[in-house]
Amino acid sequence: MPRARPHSPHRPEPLALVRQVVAGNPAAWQRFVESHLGFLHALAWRYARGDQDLAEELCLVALEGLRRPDAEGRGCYRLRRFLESREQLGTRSRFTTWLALVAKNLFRDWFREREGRRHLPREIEGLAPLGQEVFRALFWQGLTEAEAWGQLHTHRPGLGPAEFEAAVAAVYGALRARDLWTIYQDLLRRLPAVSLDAPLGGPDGPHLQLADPDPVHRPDARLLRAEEHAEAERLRSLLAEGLASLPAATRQVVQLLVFRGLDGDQVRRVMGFRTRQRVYDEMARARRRLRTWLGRRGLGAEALEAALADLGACAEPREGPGSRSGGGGRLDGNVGRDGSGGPGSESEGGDA
Amino acid sequence: MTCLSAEELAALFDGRLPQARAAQGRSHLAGCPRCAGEIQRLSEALQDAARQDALRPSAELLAQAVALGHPGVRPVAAEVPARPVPADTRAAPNERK
Ligand SMILES: [Zn+2]
Repeated sequence: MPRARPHSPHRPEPLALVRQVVAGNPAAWQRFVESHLGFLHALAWRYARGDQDLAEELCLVALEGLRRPDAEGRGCYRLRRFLESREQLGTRSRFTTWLALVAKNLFRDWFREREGRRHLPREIEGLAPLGQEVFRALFWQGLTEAEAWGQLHTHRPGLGPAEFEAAVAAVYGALRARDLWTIYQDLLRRLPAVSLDAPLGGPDGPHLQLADPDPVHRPDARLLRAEEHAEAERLRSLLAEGLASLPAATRQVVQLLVFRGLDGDQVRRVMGFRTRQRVYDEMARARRRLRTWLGRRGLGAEALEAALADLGACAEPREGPGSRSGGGGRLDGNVGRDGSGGPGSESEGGDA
Repeated sequence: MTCLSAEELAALFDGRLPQARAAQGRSHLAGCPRCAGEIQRLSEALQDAARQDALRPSAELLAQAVALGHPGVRPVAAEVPARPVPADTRAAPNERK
């Protein structure tokens, strides 16, 4: 029986095994399953939200996805593509990184297919099919707007960003009276959702993940109050402008570290920096510049401090599920600390 | 530039994409919500998975998963989207049936 393991950068690349699986060797498949089922299960767990049966189902969904043949009937086309890309394009990721990415997409597709059978709210039924799909993605699957774009874009090759934006606007327009205030409350509480490339934020925290029960019908949904909406909107656009004024590399560090929630080491690798210190230096620079930028534009000291504290808090390593938007940490105080990649999470007793 | 493939995204994430392509990838990432979202989800998935060390898949799940690899047991169709595997695949043919 395989042990579930944390993602470890030090495990050897199981490429030989992948090649044997692609070649159709059943014994290799068994060893492949034994090596990776624990990891898949750990990945599936968050999507299953503690539902053990669902987590197991998702594991099988992912494994079937890995075995699925291409249009010409050649087996395991995803694994085959992984190997080919590695050889031809030099995409030398760890196998488990790739596996996590692919599994997550297979989970997402499975949820999407399942949710497609649910009944749409009346406001949304009146929208064009694209709008309905956008609604499903944002509110049933709990995807970020960016994720929704990715998903729809993949399945509708002709879809342009403008058309997508219009559909998103139509969805928010249809929901305005009932739910927008709740969405903006989320956005204000969690400034990371304010980003250049995902203008409307949205319910994208780990706890509003895929299987979230229809948030449109949450009991606390209230009417949007116009002046608070306007204030949120003003803060959002000021921040967006301030971010746009940063040097490209600095802005990208902010995007990855704060808005995308990568940890310092992950940001270092994506950016191609040699040291993690560089990541934090860029972040400190962003804070300085934003403070000046927002201050000059008359953003109240209180809101400004809240914004900056959130920026700092989110740059701190996340300790556990849900701690993302917790207390006001100081970015400058945690240089050199990093919680990911290592075998740091010992027995926490599975919180089933 | 077109969006990054899953292979490219994973390699960029690990810092294992050839340099020129990595630079292109980063500038693409800055302007593409789809790819940036992919990186974000990947990071979240890995960070969460790393916290789930105490969980173990059941022996039953392992058996079902291994059975996917036996030819003829459960052919996986190319066109049909992935479905949950119902309990009936638990008993592979030629065993307990
Ligand atoms: Zn892209």
